[in-house]
Amino acid sequence: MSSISFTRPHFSMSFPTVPRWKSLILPLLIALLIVLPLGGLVIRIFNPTVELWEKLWATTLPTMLMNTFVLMAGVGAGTFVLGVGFAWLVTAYQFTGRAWFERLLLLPMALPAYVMGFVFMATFDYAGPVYTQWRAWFGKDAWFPEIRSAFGAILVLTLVLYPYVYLLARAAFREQAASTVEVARMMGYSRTRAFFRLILPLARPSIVAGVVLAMMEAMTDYGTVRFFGYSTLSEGIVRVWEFRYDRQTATELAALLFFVALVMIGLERLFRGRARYYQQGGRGRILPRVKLHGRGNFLASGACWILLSMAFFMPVAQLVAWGIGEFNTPTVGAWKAVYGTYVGTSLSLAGIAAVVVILLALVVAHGVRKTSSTTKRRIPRFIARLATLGYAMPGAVVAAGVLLFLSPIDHAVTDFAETLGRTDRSLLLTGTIAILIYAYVVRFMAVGFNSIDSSLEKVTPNMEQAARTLGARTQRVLLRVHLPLVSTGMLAGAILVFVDVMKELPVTLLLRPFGTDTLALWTYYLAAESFWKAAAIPALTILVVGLVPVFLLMRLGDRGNDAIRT
Amino acid sequence: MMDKARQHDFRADDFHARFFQMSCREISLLRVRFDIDSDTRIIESVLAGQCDLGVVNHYYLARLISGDPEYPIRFFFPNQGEEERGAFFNLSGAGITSAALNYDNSVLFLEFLSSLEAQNPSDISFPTTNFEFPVHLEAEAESILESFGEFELDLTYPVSEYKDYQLPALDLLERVGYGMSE
Amino acid sequence: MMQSALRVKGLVKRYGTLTAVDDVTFDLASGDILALLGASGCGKTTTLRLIAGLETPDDGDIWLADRHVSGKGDWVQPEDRRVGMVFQDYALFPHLSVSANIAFGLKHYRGEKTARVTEMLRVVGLDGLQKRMPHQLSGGQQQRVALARALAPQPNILLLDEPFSNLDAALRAQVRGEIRAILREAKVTSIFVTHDQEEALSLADKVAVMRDGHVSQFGTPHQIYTQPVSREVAQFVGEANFIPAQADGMTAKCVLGDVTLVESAHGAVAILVRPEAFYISSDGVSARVLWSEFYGHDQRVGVILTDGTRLIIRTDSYEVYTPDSQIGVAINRAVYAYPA
Repeated sequence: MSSISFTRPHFSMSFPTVPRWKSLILPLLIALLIVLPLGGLVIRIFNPTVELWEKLWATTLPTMLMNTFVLMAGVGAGTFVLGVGFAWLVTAYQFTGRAWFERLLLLPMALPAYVMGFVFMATFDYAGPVYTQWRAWFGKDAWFPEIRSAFGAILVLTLVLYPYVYLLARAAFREQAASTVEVARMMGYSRTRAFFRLILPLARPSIVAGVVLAMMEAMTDYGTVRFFGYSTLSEGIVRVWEFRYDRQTATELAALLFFVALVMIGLERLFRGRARYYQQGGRGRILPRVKLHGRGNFLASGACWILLSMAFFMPVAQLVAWGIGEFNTPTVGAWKAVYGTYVGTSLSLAGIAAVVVILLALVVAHGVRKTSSTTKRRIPRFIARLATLGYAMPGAVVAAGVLLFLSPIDHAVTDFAETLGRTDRSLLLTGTIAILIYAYVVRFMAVGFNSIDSSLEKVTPNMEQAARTLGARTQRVLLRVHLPLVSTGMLAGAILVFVDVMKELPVTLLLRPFGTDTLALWTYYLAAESFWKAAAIPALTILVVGLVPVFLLMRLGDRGNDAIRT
Repeated sequence: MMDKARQHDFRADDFHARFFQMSCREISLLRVRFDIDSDTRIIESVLAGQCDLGVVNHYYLARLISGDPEYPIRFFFPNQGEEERGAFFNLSGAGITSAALNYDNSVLFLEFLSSLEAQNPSDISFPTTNFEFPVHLEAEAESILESFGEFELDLTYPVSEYKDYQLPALDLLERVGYGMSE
Repeated sequence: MMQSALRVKGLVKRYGTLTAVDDVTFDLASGDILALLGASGCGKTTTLRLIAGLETPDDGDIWLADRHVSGKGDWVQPEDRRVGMVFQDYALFPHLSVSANIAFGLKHYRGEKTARVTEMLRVVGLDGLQKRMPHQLSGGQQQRVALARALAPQPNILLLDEPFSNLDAALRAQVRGEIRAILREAKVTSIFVTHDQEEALSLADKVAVMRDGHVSQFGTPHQIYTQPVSREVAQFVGEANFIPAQADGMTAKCVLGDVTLVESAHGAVAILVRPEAFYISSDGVSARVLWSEFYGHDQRVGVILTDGTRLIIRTDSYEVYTPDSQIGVAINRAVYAYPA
């Protein structure tokens, strides 16, 4: 374990005080490219079409707003209870299988929400096997929870999203639990009291960040709410876009949702408190765990089993069963023919997006760092925040904004190409995957940036200066010091973006060019038509890809180096 | 029960829609759910007993029957009485975009799709693979489709005018909450 | 043969309204070790960084090995100054092995690089650790690697920023001695920054005591300690008792009787008496023991005179002085007088 004392870099004492503003030009351009589509929506907020809103208000808007709010509140509460509860269970107590559960509880992150959604729906609705069996046992009128409801949507999304809160809460507890509990015990607090009055409040920044993240993901979810017929704003936007072909209403709704997202971000900053960047360097003492016996042990292990079964094992088992069933049906040739194409499309889109995002993120992170090395950090950090805004935005909002922004540009570009002699009349930007990649960049820049930024933080100003005193010029410093240290961050970021794009649904649904279909879309279409068995195949493919970052996270957790950007 | 349903005229009319919704609940002989998203699931739910009535596109049931000839659900075509207007229908169509690169070949393809070869039952035709009724007047009947029996189509409105009614129809659906859970 | 390894003249550095370095001037001979000693914020680290070229001065000149590197239109980049620097957090490159770290500055080295790395490792006492990674080393080992890395390219001057502050107190004395031996063997001119006067006095050939950006005093450790130029310097570099006295030429009268002055003075003064300058004898002035701290090799005794003057005395450990006992205190050497 290294014993380097982590000295907080003194930014006023690093590179010569002349700010290298020109390092910020490219990052600023990139940030603008990301923010302008969203900004275009903002203008819509201030310029609403009144009749439209009157009509919306008279029909579906109140329901959508209510449903969105209920969903977010429910998911927030659910993920809080599950995430914090299990994080504490796993940190403070010893019970059978604890070490395994500690890692395995992250597994549900690999499943996209819409996959979980259709599995639950197919299994638990009236015509599904569970309820049917229930009726066989208890009669036709026996009460059973209705899955197509707010309750069902909240349940499914909570099961998918609790790992975010779990991960962050666990890291927070590990960091401070040991000394805090000891101090509390000496003051006469019981463990439980110490937890509620000291540890939980101390972990507030991380927990708030996790819960807000979960709530935002719930707000942006499309597939699950669609399957359940639960109309949220996000679902409404897609519905209006796809079924009514009413881009204008869709855009105005997206503007509203954008506003809601901004409010959420603001609330998060408010509740998070002062901690802005959370890093766990090296663990001091591990909290001695209370060993559970007998009934306590059974309950603890049992709870973990139940949660994991509901959130991962059962859905995956069902998917595998369906998949095997599909292999045995005569229609198997039908999907086999197209499977390769869909896989190819998904992989290439994800690959291109990952490369583009990482390169752009590298430019932004480097520029931000270069200009952060002086006394002024506000401006570079603000630019960074602009560039990463898209992550908090629902996919439907990003899609609407990007299309709105790109359309006029696209027409200009295509017309210009025509004057140059191009005979193909298809639109160059919005009609090709260019717009998809652009939207992915807007949506996932944060992932790449955070990854690269936190690995760049490993390069301390002292290291750069040491290299200079050893005779290395800027170029050599970049190549021999920055680049090797950043490469791990780049790789991690690329993987995360890759997986996120593979799982992504609403943006792809709304913006894809004619004939481009991904595994995610295909899963969604098949599930919407109740072709569970066929849908299981692409769903399982996505799951396998989604497991990669989860395993990475598990290994990171083991090493105790949970460097998590909030 | 079914007669009562037959009496209603499914016009894009607010009053009728509300009346239908109210009277269903009041009578409680028909249990109605508005929130099941997929046609196949609707049929399965009717089979399971969750609802007594489902409104679906015909080919979903045809697919289920082709997988299981004993499938115990059958159709009721609305508005089939003497002076009634007939069952509502949709068309699957195809068109050529203005940006199409191969205009001539596209036209040839469209002509093929509407030819007897594509419309007669065969391994590659619409009726056999998708269980949609052929538009070609001389096309032969497909067995499952034929088993649904004869029915009258609603020819009141030309298909080319459907687009004018789409938005009001969607409005109506939204107003009664069709497609959303409660 | 160069005149001096380093010449600094009139160096000034401001941050906004704060003047961190204010007219600093000194010379350093080749092979000497200089300590920049002072409390936090006195400008010692800034001075070091100005010499390294990591900060640009607002005024003044710097000559490194007779080469004008800073001032009056000249500016040489740090990468061209051939200064070696050891940072407080060692700043080792985490992705490079020990030997790769040490070899980092050897790009333009004419000679066998591997041999040089091995030699450096021997000099710092880390033979055989070439392949280790920084995170596998202890703090002390990392420091030596940082030192070896800085020394490898044969710098004109070696700069060390608070090199011992990250070490355990127990290790410090031992590491100090080892570092001094390494520096002497490498025959390299060095400057290190510290706030610990014991470090400065024991390690350095020359000490510059700094305060508020000025150099209060520049001299050998002995000079600084025995002839501090002001009360502040005196109190900073060691324990100091100041006793009011009336001076009259080479003698002064104080509560301890007549004392001899090193330099003549007149009027009301305060004389500086270091704790070890007292001796305890029955002939001395009567004092009551307040407390004593036993260190094994010597002891410190706090006493109070009949007129209320409190003194701290350092004496050998043969006698035990219990609180409230009476002892006699006298001064046995000449002292310096300061304005009252």
